[in-house]
Amino acid sequence: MAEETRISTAVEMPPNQIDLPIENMRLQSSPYIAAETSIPKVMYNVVIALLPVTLWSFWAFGLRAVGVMASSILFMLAFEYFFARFRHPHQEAWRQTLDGSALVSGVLLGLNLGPTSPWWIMMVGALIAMGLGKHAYGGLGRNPFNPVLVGRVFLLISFPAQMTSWKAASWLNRDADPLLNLDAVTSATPLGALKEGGWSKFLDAFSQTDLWNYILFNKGGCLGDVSLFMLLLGGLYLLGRKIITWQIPLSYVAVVALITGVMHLVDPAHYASPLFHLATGSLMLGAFFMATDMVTSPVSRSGQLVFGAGCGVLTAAIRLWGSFPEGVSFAILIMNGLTPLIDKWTKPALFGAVKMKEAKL
Amino acid sequence: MSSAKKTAGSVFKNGLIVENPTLRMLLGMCPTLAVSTSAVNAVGMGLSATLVLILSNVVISLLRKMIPEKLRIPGYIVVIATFVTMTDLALHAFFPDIHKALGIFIPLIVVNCIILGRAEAFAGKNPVLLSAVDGLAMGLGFTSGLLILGMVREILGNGTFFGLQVLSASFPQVIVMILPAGAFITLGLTIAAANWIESRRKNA
Amino acid sequence: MSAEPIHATGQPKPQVSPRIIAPIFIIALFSGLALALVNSATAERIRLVKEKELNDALALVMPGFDNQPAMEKIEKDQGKQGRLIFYPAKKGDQLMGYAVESTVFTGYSGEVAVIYGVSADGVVGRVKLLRHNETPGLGSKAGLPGFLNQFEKSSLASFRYQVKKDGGQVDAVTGATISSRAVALAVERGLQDLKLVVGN
Repeated sequence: MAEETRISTAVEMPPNQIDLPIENMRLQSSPYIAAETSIPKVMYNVVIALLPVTLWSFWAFGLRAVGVMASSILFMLAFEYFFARFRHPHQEAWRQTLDGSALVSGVLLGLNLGPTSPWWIMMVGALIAMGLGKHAYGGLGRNPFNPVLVGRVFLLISFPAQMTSWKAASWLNRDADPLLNLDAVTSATPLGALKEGGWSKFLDAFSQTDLWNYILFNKGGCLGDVSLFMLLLGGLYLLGRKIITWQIPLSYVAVVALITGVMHLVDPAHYASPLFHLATGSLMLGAFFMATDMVTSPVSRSGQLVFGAGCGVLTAAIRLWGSFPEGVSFAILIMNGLTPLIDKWTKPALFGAVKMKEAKL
Repeated sequence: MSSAKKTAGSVFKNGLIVENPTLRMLLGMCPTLAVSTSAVNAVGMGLSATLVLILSNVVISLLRKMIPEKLRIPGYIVVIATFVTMTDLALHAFFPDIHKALGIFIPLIVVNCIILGRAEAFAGKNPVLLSAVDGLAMGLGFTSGLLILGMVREILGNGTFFGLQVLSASFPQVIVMILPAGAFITLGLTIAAANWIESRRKNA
Repeated sequence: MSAEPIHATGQPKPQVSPRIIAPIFIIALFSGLALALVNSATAERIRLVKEKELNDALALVMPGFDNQPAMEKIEKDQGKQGRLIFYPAKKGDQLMGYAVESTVFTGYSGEVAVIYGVSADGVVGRVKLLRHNETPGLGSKAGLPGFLNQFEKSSLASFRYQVKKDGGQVDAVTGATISSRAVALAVERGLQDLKLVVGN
């Protein structure tokens, strides 16, 4: 959708020199052919991709997860309308509210929260995401940072107690979560347990449990962390529908695997295996659904590779040596900030342009 | 501000509102962001800076014909540093709690650009009385900016107002507000509000 | 060639005229005098303020002494492990015990310092968190009486200074295990070392 500009007679031209009906001339920037994709189409495809993990989290955590998700979406839509209404008449604000972007934000925020989050966590998160993360910059398309992550990091820093007290997944066999036994009051996430005790101690705690069944379907933590399998299903759907490109997820995941793999080889007793790092936390949720946000990631394919690799380096560094157990949110936000620079460095040559070196010959 | 007619009143209004150092000129951001974690700290910092500002403005205005043009900046710095050090010692002796809370930021008033800025822009060119008024107004403008930030951050981040519990303990404290990130967020929103009020005033 | 001496840099020698230097010299002179005056007027008070600060902390954890513990303090710097300062508290000639200032660097954000009283027979009295950089609202809760009171009346013989998660007896602050661990460690290290110093 190209932006349209009408030439205003008042500014550019001395009125008596030209007698063409200027009101009918339009200046339009490229592209001239509009693709079939539209914002709602992209957004509703993302929602479809997030559906499996969302439904699975409802099954695993029960009604509380439904409440978290519903209130997250409701608050997100409400604040989207509220802030859009500041700058637009009702009709336009209402259209923006229903274009699907706020719905995706709501679902993603819900997936980034624990099932025991009180209602005001969703309210503050949506308020910050929409107010500071999105509309302070001018709405969808102008925000330099992923709004959901802005909201989530604000919550994480402001309310660490509420944001890091997890409930074990699977209301069916809650006693089976070995992490519950490590800490009687609140269950730690696998990454949290790793940070506290190191890899070998973590494996001891899990010696009696099927680790992979746990990770693929039953993990405690945020709603979106519960099942790796369902997340990957959604990610593959987005790739298949060409909503996202493979560059960011692949380079992100590969770099995390590389760094954690090297460290695991150096000290296997302390550093966890790279597979574990790929499978836990919100890495896959981040790599497929949040780092790939079109507004806040680079445009060119090579830029996307750089972006993903940068996210990978930061995530691995925070997980291995930082004070937080998980670094996906921070990593993506920092790389969001670098996106304009990456875009500048990786700007593709204009069609027909000659490189400086060749031109001199 | 035009140099045609300066009255004590116009100088005062200029410092407090029109050219408010914190919200309009964005001067002295470092102490603004760092010590506005509570209203008491904000007032302590603001009044210390005001005191230094008045004294240095008066002395520099008195000496303005004596200080040679080429060496005026070193001259100003010596005068300002002297008053800052005096303030630091006096606070340590008589208000140890405030001194402890403000810590390194008291000696750093020396490099607060509001103070050198007013010396250069105003006190070096204007008579003593007006310079004193300018110092007072700029200082109060700085204090009021700090106080707004301090109050918002203290209430949201700590649930207290000047140390008194105003939000019940069950009300969740927004910890980020008393961290550096909260300082930037609050400052940005406060400046936005100031700009909004200003534009409404102009359009009205 | 002129007879004027050429400056090392090839530049003409900067003019140092007394008319420029004199005012600055006078300003500096008066500044110095004023500062000396203010300093001498406040020095005694500042010394008292500092002394009172320490004595208040000491009186809180080790009430009832009548000597000057700060004059007889024993300092032990153990590098990366931490730092210990023992203040002997005496009533008359009788040694009541020690106030121990113990610093460790294992907090969530580095340094954690506690001060606490230990009676002559090795039992802990009041504990106070002196300095820390822990997360406000989370790790900082390790400075509240609710957490610190559990160390009262404990001793090396009767108490394991580790959080319950690590097999000890300390109830950690929810969500702030690392901060709780650091405080417990600080208390324990002081006690261990005191045993070596005084041999009880």
